[in-house]
Amino acid sequence: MQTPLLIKISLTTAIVGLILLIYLSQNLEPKIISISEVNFEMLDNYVKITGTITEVRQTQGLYIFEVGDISGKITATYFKDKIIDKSFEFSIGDEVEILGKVSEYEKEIQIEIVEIRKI
Amino acid sequence: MFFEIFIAVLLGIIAGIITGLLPGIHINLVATTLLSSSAFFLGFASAIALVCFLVSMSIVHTFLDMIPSIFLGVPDDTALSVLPGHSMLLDGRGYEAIKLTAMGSFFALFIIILISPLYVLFLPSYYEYFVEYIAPILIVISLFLILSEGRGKKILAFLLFILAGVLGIATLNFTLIKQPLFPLLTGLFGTPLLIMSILHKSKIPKQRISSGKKVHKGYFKALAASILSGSLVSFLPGLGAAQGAVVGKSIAGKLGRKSFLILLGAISTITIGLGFVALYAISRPRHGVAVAVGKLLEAFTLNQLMLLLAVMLFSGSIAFLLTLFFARVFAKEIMKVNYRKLSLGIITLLAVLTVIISGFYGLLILITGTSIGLLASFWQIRKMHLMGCLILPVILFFLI
Repeated sequence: MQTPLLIKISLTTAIVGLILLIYLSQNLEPKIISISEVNFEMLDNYVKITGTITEVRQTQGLYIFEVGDISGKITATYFKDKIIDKSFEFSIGDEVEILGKVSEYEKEIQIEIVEIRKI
Repeated sequence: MFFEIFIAVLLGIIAGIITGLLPGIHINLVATTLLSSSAFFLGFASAIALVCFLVSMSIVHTFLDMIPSIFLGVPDDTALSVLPGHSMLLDGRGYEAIKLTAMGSFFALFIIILISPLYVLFLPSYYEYFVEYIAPILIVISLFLILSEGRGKKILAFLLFILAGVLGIATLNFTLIKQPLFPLLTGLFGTPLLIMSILHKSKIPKQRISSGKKVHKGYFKALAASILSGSLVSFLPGLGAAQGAVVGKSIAGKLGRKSFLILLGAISTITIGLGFVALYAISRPRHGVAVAVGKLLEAFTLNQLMLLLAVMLFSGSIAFLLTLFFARVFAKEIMKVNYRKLSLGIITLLAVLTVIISGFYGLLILITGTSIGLLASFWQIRKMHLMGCLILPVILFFLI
């Protein structure tokens, strides 16, 4: 049985793969694009945008922001249970950078926020 | 309306047969595909019909996926850690083993309906209280599971938990990857099983179709334990059927291999079924299909929940009969199928799907996950520790 060799191969692949993944996940991020460039073909992809918050609403589990830049505006949602920072607070007029996933809600395109920060 | 849902449920049953019988193909794959092309499907079907399809498919899947997991992937050496299902298969009683898990799954349908009112009534108000303790609970359960491994394997189990956990964290933070759970879970749980069945020329002895008629007292103990552990793991994040089975086993105390199979079947159906109820009660999805259901239903109403429970009962009852039928076919025909070729075909399919769904970097996740999953097989350590890939990120999420 060649198991010891197979174990070595698997362990090496696992560790090399993990190191590569950790490096790549830290260093590869989507480029910043303008809001009008976000389209349905990007559904489920991650994008990064910047803009000004023009409206803030909230539901039981969700913050809903309207964000605009010169090119257009888009709805961005944030699940409250994803919030790590207890001092999470954004208001109208804040300039923000958003990393999020393109999704669809009632035939409208929107962004599910992964990271949002003031700039 | 009724007709549409009926068709959706029937299609769900067919989809569940396919995902259940094909090793390595998970219901999450179908849920993900359906969700990402929901714009297309919603053109001619209502959201609730799509949801009924998903619920029916996932319940049927939990019945049938016991067939490949018991008939395939048998370790070739007479390892001490051989699972109850495999040990019965090696005795020529594979059919009986499947029948027991199917019985467990069938009783689970009623357990789900029994537990649902409790979930709906108590979870919403008590969950908030629970949230603070999720990290410690997960740490305690994970440590308990690692320490339940045999001598000399505890450290390896811990290592696997951490490796899978680091993989999970890196994958979930890798924003360029689409549908990261697909390559992650396929790599850890799907492909290793397929590769092992290619590596091992496991000889399956001739099977006989017999069904144990005697009902043991242990069966009731197994079901009682599955009620407790199933309703616990179904609403906690990161925990699934495999953890539930071990927790259930330790609640029940001593269980014979037959009773254990009942427990195994029951827990796998309970976790999927109650996952949908938990979605209603606390608006949090606890498995991949519940994620899709949550996104399809904008507001999940009580009437819809009752419809889904009815769908589970209906498709589950049909799945019970289907499972006995397919187990019989497998028991008779298992020697004739070339599983090496089938496994190789499915591995290729999964790799291609990974590139299509998650992109090129997804392949890196798939390969890394596969290597970690294979280590579990080589070291003969239970696969459930690999759920560290979800548990560790959840623990960190709640701790930070």
